[in-house]
Amino acid sequence: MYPASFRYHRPSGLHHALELLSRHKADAAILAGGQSLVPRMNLRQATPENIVDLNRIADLSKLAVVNDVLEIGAMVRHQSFCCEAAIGFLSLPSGFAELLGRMADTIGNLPIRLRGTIGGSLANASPKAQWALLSFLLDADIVIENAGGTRCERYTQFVKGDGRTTLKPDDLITNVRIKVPPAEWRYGFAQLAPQPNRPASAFALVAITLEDARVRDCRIAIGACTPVPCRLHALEDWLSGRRASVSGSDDLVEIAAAAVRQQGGESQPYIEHLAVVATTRAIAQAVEC
Amino acid sequence: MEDTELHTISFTLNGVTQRLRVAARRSLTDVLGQECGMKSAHMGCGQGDCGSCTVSVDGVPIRGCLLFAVQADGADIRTAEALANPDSLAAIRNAFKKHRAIQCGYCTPGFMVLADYILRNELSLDQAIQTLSANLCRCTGYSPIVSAVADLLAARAERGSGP
Repeated sequence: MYPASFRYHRPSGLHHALELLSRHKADAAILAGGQSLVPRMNLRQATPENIVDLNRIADLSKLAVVNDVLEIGAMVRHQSFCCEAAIGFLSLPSGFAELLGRMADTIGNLPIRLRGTIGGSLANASPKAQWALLSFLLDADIVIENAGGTRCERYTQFVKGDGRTTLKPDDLITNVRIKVPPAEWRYGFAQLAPQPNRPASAFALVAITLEDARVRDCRIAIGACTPVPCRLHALEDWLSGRRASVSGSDDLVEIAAAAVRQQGGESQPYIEHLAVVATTRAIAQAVEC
Repeated sequence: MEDTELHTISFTLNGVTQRLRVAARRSLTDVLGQECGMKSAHMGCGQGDCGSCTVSVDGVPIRGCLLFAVQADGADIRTAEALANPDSLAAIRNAFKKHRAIQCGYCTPGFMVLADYILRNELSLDQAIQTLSANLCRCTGYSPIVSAVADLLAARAERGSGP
C-alpha cells in the first residue's frame, strides 16, 4: 500500500532541520533510518504531513571519544558497530568494542542494520531494543536539541514507558554519550527470541569486574520482557563479593528469579523464566569470557 | 492530501543515469518497477520483513520498500538485472540455475542481490548464511539457495581473490 501523501524536506544541516521541526511541530515526523517509521507509514498507522529526512546531515553520523566519553551521532547505523573499519579508530577497550558488535549483530538483519540508526532506536524507546538495554546498563546520556537550545538527559530518565519518552515534537536527538568503561570490565549478553532475526522475548546484559576469582562489581540489566529495560539491583547486590564460581549455581538462579519477579508488571511465568535464563547465561558469559 | 508536489531526482541505475519526477511517498521499489521498467523490482510485504524488494544502494543491500525513491537521489543503484558486473551476474544466475535455487521466483532478485554482496565482500560461508537469513523464500527453498551461494564461494576460493 502507498503511504499517505506528505511533504518531503531534506535539510542539509542541523540548524535547518531544527527550524523545520519547530515550524511543523506535531505535523512532522523525523525520518532517520526509516526501518520502523516507514513500515508504519506503509500501513497508514503513521500519516505525518511532513517528513524531515536527516540522512543528508553528515554531522549526525560522527563517532568520537572525547574525554573518555564515547559520543555517537544519532544517525550512526547499527551495522557500523559490527565493522572494525567504522569503529576501530576509536580505540575502545576490546571487550567493550566486541560487545557493541555482538549486540548490533542481533538487531534485525543486514539490510535493516545498514539503514537503522542508534538515535532512531533510542527515540522509539522500544523495550526490545538492544541500544536501550545498553543505555540502561551504562547510564547513557542523550543530547537533545531544538530551535530553542540543547539539553542532555539520562536515558533512564528519558524513557517513560513502552515507546513513551520526554521527547517533544520539535526535539531532535543528536548524540548519545556513553562513558567508556574501564578495560577490565567483562561483559555477557544473552537473548532469547522465538527465532533468529526476530525481536527478543527477553534479553540480559551484564558487566562485571573480577578480583581474586570473586565478583568485585557488577551491573545487570534486563529488557524486552518489561515495558522499559531495568537494572536488577537486588541481584547485583547479591552477586557482588561472591565467588565467580557461583555462576551457574541453583542459588544464583533463585535470586535471579526473585529479582526478575520484582520487576513484574503482569505476571507471565514463561517470559519470567526466559528472563532468568537470559540473566544467568549472561552472567556465565561475563565470568567465563 | 494529493500528490501536488513532485520531486526531480536522478540516480544511476545499473550504470545508466536516470532522471525522474516522483511524488515523495513512492518507494524506491515502486519507482524502479513502474518508471524504470525493472522487472526484478518485487514489492512483497512492504514492511522490511521479507526482503523480496532488496536492491543494492551505494554497494549495500537495502530494503527498497522502506526507502522513498526521493531519498535515493544521487545514489548508485543496482538490481538483479545487472548486479555488480556481467561476470558476477552470469555466475550467480548459473549457480541458482544449477542448484534449482528458484521455485516461484518472487524472492529470487532479492536473494541475488544478497549473493552479490556476499561475493563482493568475500564473506565466510557462516557469514553468508547469516546474510541470506535476511530474506524469506516462501517456497522454503533455502537449502538450494545456500548451496548455490556456497558453490559460488567455493569457486571464488579456488580462483583466488579477484573479480
